[in-house]
Amino acid sequence: MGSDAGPAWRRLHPASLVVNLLPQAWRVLRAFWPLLVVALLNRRSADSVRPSDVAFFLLFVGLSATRTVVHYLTLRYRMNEGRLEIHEGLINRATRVIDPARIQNVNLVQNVFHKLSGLVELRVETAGDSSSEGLLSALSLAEATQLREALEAARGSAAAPASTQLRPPLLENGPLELVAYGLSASRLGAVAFLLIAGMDALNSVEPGGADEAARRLGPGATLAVVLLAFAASQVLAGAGSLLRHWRFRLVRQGDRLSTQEGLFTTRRVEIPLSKVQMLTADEPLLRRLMGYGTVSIETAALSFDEGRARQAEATLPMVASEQLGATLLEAAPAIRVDPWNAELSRPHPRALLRTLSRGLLRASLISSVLIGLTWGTLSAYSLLFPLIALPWAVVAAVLDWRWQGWLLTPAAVIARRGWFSRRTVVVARDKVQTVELHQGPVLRLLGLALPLVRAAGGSNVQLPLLGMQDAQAVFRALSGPAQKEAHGDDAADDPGDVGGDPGPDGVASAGDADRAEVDGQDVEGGLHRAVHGAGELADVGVGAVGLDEVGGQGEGA
Amino acid sequence: MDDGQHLDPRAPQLWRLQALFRLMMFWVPLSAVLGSALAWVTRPALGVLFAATILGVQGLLALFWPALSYERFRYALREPDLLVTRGVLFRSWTSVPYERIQFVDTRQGPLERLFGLSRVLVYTASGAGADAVIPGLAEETATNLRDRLSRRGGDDGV
Repeated sequence: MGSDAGPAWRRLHPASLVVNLLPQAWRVLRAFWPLLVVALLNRRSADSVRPSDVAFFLLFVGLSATRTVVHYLTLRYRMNEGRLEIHEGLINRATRVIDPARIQNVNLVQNVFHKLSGLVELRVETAGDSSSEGLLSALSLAEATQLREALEAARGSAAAPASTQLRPPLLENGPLELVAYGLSASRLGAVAFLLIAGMDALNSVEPGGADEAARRLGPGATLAVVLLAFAASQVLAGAGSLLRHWRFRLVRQGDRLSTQEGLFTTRRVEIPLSKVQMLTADEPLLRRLMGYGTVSIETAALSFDEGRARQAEATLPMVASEQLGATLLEAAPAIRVDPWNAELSRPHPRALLRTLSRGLLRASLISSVLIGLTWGTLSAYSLLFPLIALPWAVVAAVLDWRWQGWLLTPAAVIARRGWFSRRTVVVARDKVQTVELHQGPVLRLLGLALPLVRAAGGSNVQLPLLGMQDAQAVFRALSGPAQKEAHGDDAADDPGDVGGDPGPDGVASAGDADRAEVDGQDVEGGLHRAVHGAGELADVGVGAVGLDEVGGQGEGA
Repeated sequence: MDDGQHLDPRAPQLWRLQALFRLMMFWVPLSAVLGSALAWVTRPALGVLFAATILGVQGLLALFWPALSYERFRYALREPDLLVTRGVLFRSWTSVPYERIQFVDTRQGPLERLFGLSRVLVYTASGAGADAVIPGLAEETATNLRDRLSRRGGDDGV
């Protein structure tokens, strides 16, 4: 695949064979973790090393070594005509061409093995793609520096520095609010974990102890144990929230948002307003009854926190419900709309059928599993599960469908879903990366389709199910240069919202020809005028700046 | 929204071969295992029938589905964006504005190399893996498309 024309291809340092072995082993482990779980479970019941254990170990070592060797032998890179080309692969060959203008960060990473050998891993990060890890590992420091300088030179100048003017905090959460935040989160997973962990502990002390205890307890006592697990999970959640979000503060400093939180580990994050991709407001029922919601601010960065990918750059734990709209506008002024004061359009009536069928199917499956697990202890009482779950599924589906909504403005895409756990998602139109429309056979039968809008860094907005015509119109409205319309002068005076004023098909239509109408012909005509009438958008840099402080020592992210 | 260019005419043959490969490597062992389990639990004839049914259905799909997929796959280089339309049962339309493209990959597996075909993967900042995949292109077409798409530039919205 790699063409021989152009500058010579360069290779990794020979010491990469040694340096990359353990990191490659870790990636193999991550990729084949189910096999590891099976091996460990089998191992628990074995008294000595078995051939299968040896085979598994050899497979693991063989795969890691093979991938390391193949990576070293096949990886080539070069700067060609101002672009970085990376070629790799033996059986499946890949060539990646990266325009330096798209590179967000060029980082030099050294783990302990790199340091011992004087090598370095160069990570070229484009927004939203995290697969550069391990790609250019390992290079000599001189080669990495040379490549980095070439890329930096090709990228051009950096963004202007932010103002450091301080303002009063926009939001502060006290201890009681943070405890309430933890208590109001859904903890079913934690409850299940506590119950399973308790049973496992009982079995390890006395084989079959958990089953024996379940038989002796009876239905009432079993229910009490489950409730106790709920209570324990709530206590843990409250304590965890307090520790993690201790003294949470949100401050706006010029054109940046700054958050600070944490008791033992203090985390400070700075987010340029221009880097905000998506805003999510979560209002679980209990939290909503308390009068609060939670706002998550997402950027294009895919950062990692203790080995796990962290989607949101900042989470504002407890925002007063009446302040949610204002908070979203403060975090992303470009959206120019308060979703709580805007009229959202409803999903298609037939969407209720799909929501109902999925809810009933899910409830049936869960009930069947619970009946199977508890019949021995609860006997006929197990039938309470479907008697509760199925009507609940109907109520939940109807409420969810009733409170779904969506809206397109020239500046933003808004979607809302859920009643028990309401979620409002907002993306500025100039942050839309791609638009998708999906229609499976069932949706085709119902004449529905599902629009999906993707912003940078893994953020998605899934609109409710719409009629196919409306969905196609939304698709056309968001395709191509539609986001430029958001910054045109026409849009500032007359938003021309789509979806807020239901027409015959449940979709807005406006008489003004300059507005974006959800109608195939007019949308394209309106967009054409918007594209040729709007100015160019300023090119901006990327990425949130996160500063992790441990014991008062600040570290650059 | 369903207009655009077809893939290379050799694509259905490639997909047919890939499907037959999957049939041998995955569906045959799976149906053997499931059929044996069913035969053990019920009757041998049922197990054989079950396995034969799975293999029969997968075999028919391997033979005829690629042609349907080929007819339903379109890609269009429109003025503002790349539009990819695909799917027989599960239809999807994907719009990737040129200015949002971060980088473009071309990939070629061993079977693709046999047919002289490649696939183009287009990435934006969405972080959802490849935002658009165009399989079954002649090598030169894939290379040209890759080079063309990776040169557009503009505001990437990040």
